[in-house]
Amino acid sequence: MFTKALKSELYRIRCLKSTFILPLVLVGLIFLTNFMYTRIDFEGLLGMSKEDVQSVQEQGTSAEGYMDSFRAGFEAGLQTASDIEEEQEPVKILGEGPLYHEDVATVFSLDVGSLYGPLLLAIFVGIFIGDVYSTGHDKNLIIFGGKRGLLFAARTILISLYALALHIVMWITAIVSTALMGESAVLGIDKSFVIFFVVTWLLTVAFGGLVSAMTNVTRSKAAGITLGIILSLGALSTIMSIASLVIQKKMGLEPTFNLGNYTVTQNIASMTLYSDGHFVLRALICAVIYFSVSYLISVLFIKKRDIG
Amino acid sequence: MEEYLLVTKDLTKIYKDTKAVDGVNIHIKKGSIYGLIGKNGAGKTTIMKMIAGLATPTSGTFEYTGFEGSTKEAYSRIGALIESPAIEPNLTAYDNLKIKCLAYGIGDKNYIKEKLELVGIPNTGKKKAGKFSLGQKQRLGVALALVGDPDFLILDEPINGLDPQGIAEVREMLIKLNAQKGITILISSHILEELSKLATDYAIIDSGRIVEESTNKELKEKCRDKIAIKTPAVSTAIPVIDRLGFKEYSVVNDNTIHVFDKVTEISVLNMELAKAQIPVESIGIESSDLEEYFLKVTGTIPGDRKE
Repeated sequence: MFTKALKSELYRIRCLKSTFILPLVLVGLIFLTNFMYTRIDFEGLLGMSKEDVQSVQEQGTSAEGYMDSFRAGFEAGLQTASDIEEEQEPVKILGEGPLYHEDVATVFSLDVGSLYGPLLLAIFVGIFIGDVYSTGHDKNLIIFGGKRGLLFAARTILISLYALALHIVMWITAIVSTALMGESAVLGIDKSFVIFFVVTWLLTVAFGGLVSAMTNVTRSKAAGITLGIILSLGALSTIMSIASLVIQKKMGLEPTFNLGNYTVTQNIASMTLYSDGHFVLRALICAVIYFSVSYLISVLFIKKRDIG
Repeated sequence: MEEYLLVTKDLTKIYKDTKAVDGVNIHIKKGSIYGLIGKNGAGKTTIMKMIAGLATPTSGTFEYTGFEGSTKEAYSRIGALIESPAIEPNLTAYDNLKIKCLAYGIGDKNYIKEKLELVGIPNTGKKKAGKFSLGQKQRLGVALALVGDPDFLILDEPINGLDPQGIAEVREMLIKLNAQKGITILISSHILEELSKLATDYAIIDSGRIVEESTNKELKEKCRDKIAIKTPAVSTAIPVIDRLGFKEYSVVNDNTIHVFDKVTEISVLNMELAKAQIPVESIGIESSDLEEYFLKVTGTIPGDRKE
């Protein structure tokens, strides 16, 4: 029965145009991002020093890390620009970018941190699960009467596999773009890369679970996709920062406490190849908790609610 | 004793403060075509959803006595088209059927072609289902319901949007499926004359309650032309009716007799009753078609009875 559900839903996925369009969009976005990292000469253009670049690499692509680095770079860049103006030298845009000399693993880790993967996964999940409600698809599957949880389990597995496929597409794109635009395409596959790959994939699956739960609860693909976009764009980071400050004050916690560290997207965005064991464990626990809760919410609604 | 496929007992569905279905008891015989007649919002679709496992009853039960195993197992033997057809608009008719076939473990490519031919849309090719006409969508919905070769087919307004030829084709198809494959069919429709051409049993539903459950024969009897005699002396009128050679009549209650044959001989009957000094309060020919009868029973015609 479960295998039949898997086959049927897999065929439905195969028939969705977005299944194939979204990875293509991802390839395009990652190529552009990697072009920027490897071929835009930030040092020359904005005056970012090697230390600034190193800072981006070590802090990941978290909003704070970006802001610090770019603020420093921007200020230095203004100075550089005025110097250039004075010296009447041409502005150098192309050249060796901050990741020009880096291996594929490092480039890939920054690609993952861009959150394009979760963003596109949210669109896929919204369409895949939302279609069930907009078309009344489950009315055709009376055979699963009383076994709707089984059908949803099959859908969840396929979403997880799609998230894995997007991760792999991203990695392959990182290989190709590094080979084309970087110094060389050294893969850099080691233990830390494998951990990074698996943990960020699990976090992405948990993210897909959240979007799926939202779609199931509201029976609206728009609601699921909107939540996914909001989360992946980091639109809630300001709210998170304020909430963190309030919690710090109320509970007397240390100033290092940040609520964002316990969200799926922040964990994906800030995890790097150099993240320590504590970070990895926290990210894994977050993935498991977010996935489990969203899965249970979905199943609860699916089993209790009437179809159609 | 007749074998029932499905029996419901006090089936009730309440949505917030609205009782959509109120203590419904229906008895669907194995091999029958059971027509569910009711106005919009009467509760037809909700009943169908509950017995198809798509909605949970608030109270009451239903049991598939005609299948082996539990009700959950019976779901694998049911095909349904409830409300609008559940079609993926961006897929072809073939792909729509393929998705359901895979869920039912059917891998034969010819199977899908057979189903599309059966419902009269064999040549839609690569045309997306979203671009189908209303009739084509309805046919695709019926084809989807037929996947898995169900023993029990639940069809909610299946001829909606079909042209007269399409209606006739679907009717013929359902009669054929019932006669040749022994599929039991539960069907609802607004077009009562159409329903009367294929249903063997009926339930009339109004405001969530079953007003009447009868066989086709019983219903036709109620709808056919008849002489209605109102007299306080029913027992003395019967020998007169017998003497005149009327064979089909029934005593409806203490003061009403319905005579179904030789309806044109009403004046002769009236004269003989008068000769026999039987007091006749009224005598006349009553006739109604199914639609009229339905309106009478559900009390839609002002002044008529509503149970």
